[in-house]
Amino acid sequence: MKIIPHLFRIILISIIVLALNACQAPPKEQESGWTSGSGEVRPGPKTGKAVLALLAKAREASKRGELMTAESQLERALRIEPRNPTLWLYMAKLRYFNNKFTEAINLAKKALALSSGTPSEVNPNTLRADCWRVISHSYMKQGDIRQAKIAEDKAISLSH
Amino acid sequence: MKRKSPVRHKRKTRSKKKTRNTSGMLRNYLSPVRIFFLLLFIFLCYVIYLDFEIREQFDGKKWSVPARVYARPLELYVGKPLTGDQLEFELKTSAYRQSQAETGAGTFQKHGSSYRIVIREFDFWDGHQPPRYVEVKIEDGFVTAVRDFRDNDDIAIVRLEPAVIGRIYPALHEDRLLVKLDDVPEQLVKALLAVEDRQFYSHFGLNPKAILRAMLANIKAGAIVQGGSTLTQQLVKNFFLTKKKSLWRKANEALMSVLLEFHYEKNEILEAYLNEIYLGQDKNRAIHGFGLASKFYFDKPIYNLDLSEMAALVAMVRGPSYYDPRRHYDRLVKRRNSVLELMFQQGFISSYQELTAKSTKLNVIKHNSIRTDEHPAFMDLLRRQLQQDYDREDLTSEGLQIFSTFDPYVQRITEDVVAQKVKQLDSQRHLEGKLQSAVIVTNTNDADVIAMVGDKDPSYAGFNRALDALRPVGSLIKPAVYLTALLQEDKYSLITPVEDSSITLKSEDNKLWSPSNYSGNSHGVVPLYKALISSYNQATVHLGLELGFESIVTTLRNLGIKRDIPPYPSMLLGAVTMSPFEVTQMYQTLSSEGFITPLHTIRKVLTATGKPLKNYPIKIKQGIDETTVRIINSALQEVTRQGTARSLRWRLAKDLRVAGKTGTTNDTRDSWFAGFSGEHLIVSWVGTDDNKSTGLTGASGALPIWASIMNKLRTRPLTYAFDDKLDYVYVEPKTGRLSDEKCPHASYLAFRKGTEPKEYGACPQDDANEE
Repeated sequence: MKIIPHLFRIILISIIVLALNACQAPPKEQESGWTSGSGEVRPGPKTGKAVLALLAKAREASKRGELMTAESQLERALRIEPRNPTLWLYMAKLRYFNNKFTEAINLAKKALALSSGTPSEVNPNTLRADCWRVISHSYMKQGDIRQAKIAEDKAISLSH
Repeated sequence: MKRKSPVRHKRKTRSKKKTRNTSGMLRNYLSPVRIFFLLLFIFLCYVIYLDFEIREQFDGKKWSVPARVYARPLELYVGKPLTGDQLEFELKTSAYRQSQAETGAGTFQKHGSSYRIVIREFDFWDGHQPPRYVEVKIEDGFVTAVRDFRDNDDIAIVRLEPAVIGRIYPALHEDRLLVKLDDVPEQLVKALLAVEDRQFYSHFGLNPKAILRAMLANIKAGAIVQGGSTLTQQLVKNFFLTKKKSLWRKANEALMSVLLEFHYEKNEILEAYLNEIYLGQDKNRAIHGFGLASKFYFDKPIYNLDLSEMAALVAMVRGPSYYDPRRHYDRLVKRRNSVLELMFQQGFISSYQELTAKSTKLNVIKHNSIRTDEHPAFMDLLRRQLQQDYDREDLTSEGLQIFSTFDPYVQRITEDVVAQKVKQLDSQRHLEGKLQSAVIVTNTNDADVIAMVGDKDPSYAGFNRALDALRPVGSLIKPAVYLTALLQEDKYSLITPVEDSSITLKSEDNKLWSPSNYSGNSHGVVPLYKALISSYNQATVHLGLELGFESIVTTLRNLGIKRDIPPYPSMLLGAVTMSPFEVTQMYQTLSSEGFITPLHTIRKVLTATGKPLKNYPIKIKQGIDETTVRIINSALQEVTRQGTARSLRWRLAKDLRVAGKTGTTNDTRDSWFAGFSGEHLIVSWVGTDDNKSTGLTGASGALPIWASIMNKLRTRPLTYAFDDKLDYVYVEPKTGRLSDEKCPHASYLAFRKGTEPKEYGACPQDDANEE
């Protein structure tokens, strides 16, 4: 029985690796949902080189399963570009993978707040949909199915 | 037991003579055999006690290492706002030396606007950074290039290792940097043995031959000229005993040395010695061990010392103060040379090595320009925050590495400004040196406290006003009142008319209360934003009564205020008392658009060996929705353009947009300003400890200090937050209608889409502010 949560964790970590994998290059095309692991919201073309380098480091760290180190790199990136919503979204995801669901929700809300607070480089709705998915999954983990459903609906309406 | 029975028997027979001969009885009690056994017993007890002591010391708290507090590391990347002055300050704070040519880690060279820095290796919490050879180009206040000057590659981002800004000491103020025997160069150990204890590996803790030799030498000289102590004895001496020379102490030392040798390996004892031995003094900080000494004198890790430096450190063992290289250079060099001679005589080095080392000049570094134990206000807050998670004993003895949010450059600016401006204001107002101040600077993004001053003399470690001075906040509370209104989106916008007229109501003690405006005038019906930016008291009370006190208390709570606030009318005008720290927390939430982040000073805590102990991740919680906070922030920007803080238009650099609020309390007892740019939040307070009237309003006392600091920071201007739900328009202050941008008193304000004014109004030429 113990192996299942462990497996689940490995799968989650590989998802975040994929998520951060997308960090290096500016976006080519938008891809769908974060849980599918297929692709991600990527940092906009105006994202600085320093931030991209830190994201690459974060990706390497999460590949090794060192989520704390990955988080440190993201924190450094956030100090450089505090109004970059994509970075807040990544942070929310990291917290989610650390099983800190309330924090994940709050960080995703910050990303949402900034998604309209910054002239969009990426399609803000893609980013927002992703934020709502993080929120929905986090509520689900907390057993709040009603909130999870509301957030999921928002994600779906933004994806269309 | 059997052996003792005759004794018992004897006692019986003798007891008959008790009355006749007490002295005889005593003599019998103290028979030589008994005395011998008694003394033996006492001695054994004592040995057991000593044994316990020495093992406890050796195994348990072998060495107490104070927690080391680091500043935040400086990040270098293209686009970073940075001036040459600031970079040089940072380098000097971290004890970098300017040199003409590249001479190894910890040095830098300046070529015009470029700096070549050899960054020391450092174990960050997220990994090891090897030495880096970095060229940084700075133009017009920004980093324009960062590259490796060895291989010419661009570097995306690199960190300077953080400076140590303080330590958390136990009572004795011992400091050390623990080393492992494997890291200690063999030659250093050989030098030590050659000079201090040649038979170290063969004796049992004492060296009778050496003692005899020393005794003879001392008798010959008629004074104590030579010591026969082994390293083990010296270690014991350092562990426990005072400097007093006495026979009793010597005996203790000898006993403990033998016990130590009985329990532990030679190499364990040697390692302990290398870490324990006293090697100098830095004000009230005692430098213990070769690890720290090599940093303290030569700014090198122990494994990078050259022969001459090793010999010098060994030379200092005999008298760190007598041979202090900073005060008695020649004396030390002379002794270093005899150490080298001894090493040669004993075959540890060749004659060539001896001669080369002898002719080498010792490169003793100057003292760090940043004195540790400074910045008492910041360290006070840090200590309080640490004590929530750690015992005092762990902090002072476990060698924890604490990575803080402290920004040495911003702290210096803040200290300089406070020291200078408070003096100036004090003499202007004839306050006889009574004017005091507190200032806190934070990052708006993550609530990092980066600088803090709690006294007009920033290095004075007494009452920390930034944390402990509870003062009425005056108009600083008003944004909470207006925010409460704006949260009722159907009822209020920034141009909703409010009444600024006299009003009388019952206060909490059932007395009648008639608040007046600072100028004494009422302004009639005004747009809501105008009442806020010009700080009209009567309008605020009218509005507050409409909203209800409870809802305003809720808003304060959602802004991060934890203190109980009694919902009385006088609260509306800031009769509530808060510390500058609490005010900072409240404005932090405004500056981060409604997200509460607890103000903090700690980023990471690692153990002495670099293992992460506790992470302090960014924690946020949405207190108030961002759109409403953006609306109030647009009005707070107008405070600094059209309102009570409009002097900032000339006090600040031209494009540096900020938002903030002045605060003045009754009879000008407290002068406040709280405000933020796009990157930094500063709260400043001035007043006197005995609550005297200072004649300073928020705008004339706290504001100049605030502006001076803000101007000197390299900070991002505030931007108007883009928000799908908002429209920004220019309005005029009389009626709140649309206005031409060029009207002298027009304000640029945020409205929820559809609530902005539609009609144009006049372009008034006059305007009224309070405070």
